[in-house]
Amino acid sequence: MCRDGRRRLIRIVCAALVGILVTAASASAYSIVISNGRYAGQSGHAGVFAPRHSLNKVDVQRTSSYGEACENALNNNGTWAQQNSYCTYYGTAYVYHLFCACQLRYGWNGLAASETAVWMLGIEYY
Amino acid sequence: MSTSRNKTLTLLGLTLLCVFGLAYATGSEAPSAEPKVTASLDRFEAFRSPAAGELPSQLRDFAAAPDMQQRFGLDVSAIRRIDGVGGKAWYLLPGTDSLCFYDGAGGGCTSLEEALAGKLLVILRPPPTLDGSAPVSPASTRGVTNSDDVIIRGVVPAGVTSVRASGANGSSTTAAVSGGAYEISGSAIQSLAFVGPNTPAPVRLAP
Repeated sequence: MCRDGRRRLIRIVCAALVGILVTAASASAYSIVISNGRYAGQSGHAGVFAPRHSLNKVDVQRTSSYGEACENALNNNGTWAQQNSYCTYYGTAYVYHLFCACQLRYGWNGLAASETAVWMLGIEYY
Repeated sequence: MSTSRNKTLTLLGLTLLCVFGLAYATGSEAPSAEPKVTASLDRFEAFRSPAAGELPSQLRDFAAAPDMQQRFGLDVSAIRRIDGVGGKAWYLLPGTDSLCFYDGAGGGCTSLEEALAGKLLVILRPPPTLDGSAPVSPASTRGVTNSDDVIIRGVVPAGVTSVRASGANGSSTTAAVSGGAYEISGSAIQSLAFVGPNTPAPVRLAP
C-alpha cells in the first residue's frame, strides 16, 4: 500500500516536472521592443528598426486613438521581407506578420505614408 | 531508515519545486481571463461550422503564444478555417471578446464588437524605398516612397455579399466576399460600404 502510494507520488511529481519543462520551453521565445511611443515624420514613411534576429513574428499596436502604424521586416540583404507592410486601421489596432525564423531580419515599425504622427508599440519575436 | 527519509525529503523537495514552478508559470504566462466563445460569434458564418481540424503549426504556435494569450485570450480549439480570397486558407481566431484573422501570412485583431461592425481589417501598403543599404540597427529610417495605393483585407459577418471602396477622387471599386473574407485594392480609399441583405454601417478609413 505504502509502496503503491510512493510510486503514485513519483508519477505525479514526474508529470509535474514534465509540465514545467514544457511550459518553460514554450515560453522560451525572445522578443525585443521595436517601437514604443510617439513617432512622427514629415514626408513619406518614418520608422524604426530593431536588431537583427531570426524572426518568427513582427507586430505593431497603435496606442493612440487613430492613425496607421505599420510593420514589416528587412532581410539581411536589404530587401523587404513583405511585399506590403501590414498597417493598423482605427478599428483594428493590432496587426502582425509571421515569419519562418529561418533567416536574419530586422523588425520594422513605421508610419503609413499618409501619416504625420502616430503612437505605437511594436515587438519583434525570435 | 535514513535512505527512506532521504527519498521522502527528495520527493518533498520536488513537490515544492513543482508547486512553486507551476505557480510561477501560471502567474506569468496564463491569460488574464478565460477564453470564451460568445453567442455573437455565430454572426460569422465560419462559427456555424465545426472548428478547424489540423492547424498549420506556425498558426497554432502563434495563437498559443503567451503574448497572444495575454492580449486576446485566443481559444486555439475554436479556430475556424475559411476559404478566403482566391480559395486560399484564411483562419478566424476567437478570443476573449475579440477576434483575429490570419490570411496565411499575417493579419489583425480587434474587439468582437468592432469585428461585427465590419472593422476587422488590415491595410496593406508598399513599404518605403530606403536610402542606402541595410540599416545598422537600431536605427531610424525615412522612406522616399509616398504611395496612396493600398490593399485592404478583412472579414465581415454573415449577410455581406460584397464590399465597395470609395476613393478620394470619387472613384469606387467593388469586391465580392468569399467565405466571409474579402480583399479590395485602390488608391486613397476613404471608406468602405457593405452590400447584402444584412450589413454593418459604412466604415470610414480616416477619422
